[in-house]
Order: sequence, then C-alpha cells, then structure tokens
Amino acid sequence: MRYRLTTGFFAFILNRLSGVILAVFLIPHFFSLYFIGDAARYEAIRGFYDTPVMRFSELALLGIVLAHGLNGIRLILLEAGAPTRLQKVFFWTALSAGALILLISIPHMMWGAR
Amino acid sequence: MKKAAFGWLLSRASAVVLVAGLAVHFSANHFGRPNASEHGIVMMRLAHPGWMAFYAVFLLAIIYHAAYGLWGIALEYLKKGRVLSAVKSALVILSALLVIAGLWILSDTQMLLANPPAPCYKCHSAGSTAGTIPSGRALRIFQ
Ligand code: HEM
Repeated sequence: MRYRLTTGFFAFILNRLSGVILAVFLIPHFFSLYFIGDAARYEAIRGFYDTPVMRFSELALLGIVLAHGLNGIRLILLEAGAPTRLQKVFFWTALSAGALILLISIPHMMWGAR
Repeated sequence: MKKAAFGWLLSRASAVVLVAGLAVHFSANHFGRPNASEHGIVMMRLAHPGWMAFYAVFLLAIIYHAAYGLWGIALEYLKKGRVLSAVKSALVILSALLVIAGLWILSDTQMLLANPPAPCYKCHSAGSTAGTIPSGRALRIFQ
C-alpha cells in the first residue's frame, strides 16, 4: 500500500505521534509530583515550571492533549458505527473545537486569569 | 467476551474517562496562575475524599490507556519474537511502576494531612490565598 496524504492519514499520524508524546511525558510529570510529601522541595520544583517558557510548554502540551483527545473521540464515534461520510466533518469539528479551547486557555495558563 | 475484545473495550472506556478527567485536571491544576498547583492548595483539595477518588481513577485510566496504546503500536511494527516480548515486559514493568508511584504520591498527601506541620491544611494553606481553593467555578462543589 502506498501512503497518501489524505485527511484520514494525517489524522492517524497526528493521533499516533501525540499519543506517544503524552505517554513519554507521564514519566517526568510523575517525577515532579514525587516530592509532594515535602512542601519545600515540591515548591522548589514547581518554581521551575512557573516560568514563562515552561508555562508556554504546558500550553503546548494542552494543545497535544486536545489534538489527541478530540481526534480520539472522532475515532471512537467512527468505530462505534457513525457514518464514514461524516469523517471529514468530524475531523474539522474536532480541530476547530480544539483550537477554540486552546485559545480560551491562553490567558488562564499564561497569566492566571480565571 | 474474548480477552482481546475486553482489553479493547477497556481502552475505549479509559479514553472516555480521560476526556472528563483531563478537563478536570487541567482546570484544577494548570489553570489560574500562579497558585493553582501550589502545595497548600493541592493539599486542601486532596483533603477531600472525592478528589482522592478522582485521582485514583484518573491514574489507573491514564496508565492503562497509554500502555494499551503503546502495545498496539509495538504489535504493528514488530514480529512475534524476543523483541516483542521484551517490549511487553518493559511496558508491564513501567506501567506497574507508574501506578505504584502514583499511589505513593496520593498516600503521601494523606500522611501529610493526617500529620500536618503547622498550619493545618484544612483550615488555611501555608502562604496561599487563605481558605479558598482557586480551582475554577465548576469545581467549588468539592470545597
Ligand atoms: C483525552 C482523552 C483521550 C482520548 C479520547 C484518547 C483516545 C484514543 C483512541 C481512540 C486511541 C486509539 C487509536 C487507535 O487504536 O488507532 C488512542 C490511542 C493512544 N492513546 Fe489516547 N486518548 C486520550 C488520552 C491519552 C493520553 C493522556 C495518553 C498518554 C498518556 C494517550 C496515549 C495514547 C497512545 C500511546 C495511543 C496509541 C497511538 C496509536 O496507536 O497510534 N491517550 N487514544
């Protein structure tokens, strides 16, 4: 089979790549929480994440979560028997919903507005 | 039900749990800088059994889902044999370690809550906005 750059193939690669990135990220994420029993140490680690660069990285991580999660819902719906002709509609709906959520999250994650 | 089908169903069920779980987790811990994940605030939240239950379920769902997904990728690229079995063992061990680490972290918070160094986390948190949990309007039900 030859690979073709269709919407479906792009969605597949996106899902796979984002899934692997998220899985790898779990390890440092758990590690940084490991010192929760020691408030001073926990706060020292958290201080490292509370810089503009790290905040922005976290925002990027939310983007990856959204890409994987919303695309995952699309896959589950199709597997469960939703008509395949809706495939592209689902993809673009997921993409715009994700973009919207990410946009709304920017002030909350970068500057702490709520 | 066949074993493979059950594993598959569980991976889809965990995905659905993760959608809700990630929404809660992000709005509680990663929204509202600078103090949403401050030590005292996290502690106050985890003083509530609802949050403990939430994190226990979230932990199991995320580890199962990730391990199942990575295993699926391995099955696709690797032929049956030594390498595939090694990948399987690595995934099982890593998942077990992460579950243990997660439960350890959760139990550590409970030990600290049972044995608080002053001040009491349930009343006020050290150095943070006293008595309020900035975890988003929707989550105030847990306070
Ligand atoms: C927002 C919630 C999530 C949903 C709805 C979701 C959904 C899905 C679905 C439906 C698949 C199946 C893809 C397939 O079998 O072809 C999948 C794969 C995968 N997911 Fe998730 N997922 C979510 C969150 C996560 C998280 C947080 C992680 C990492 C910790 C993760 C890691 C993976 C991995 C590694 C795969 C395998 C990718 C592949 O086979 O190409 N997922 N996910």
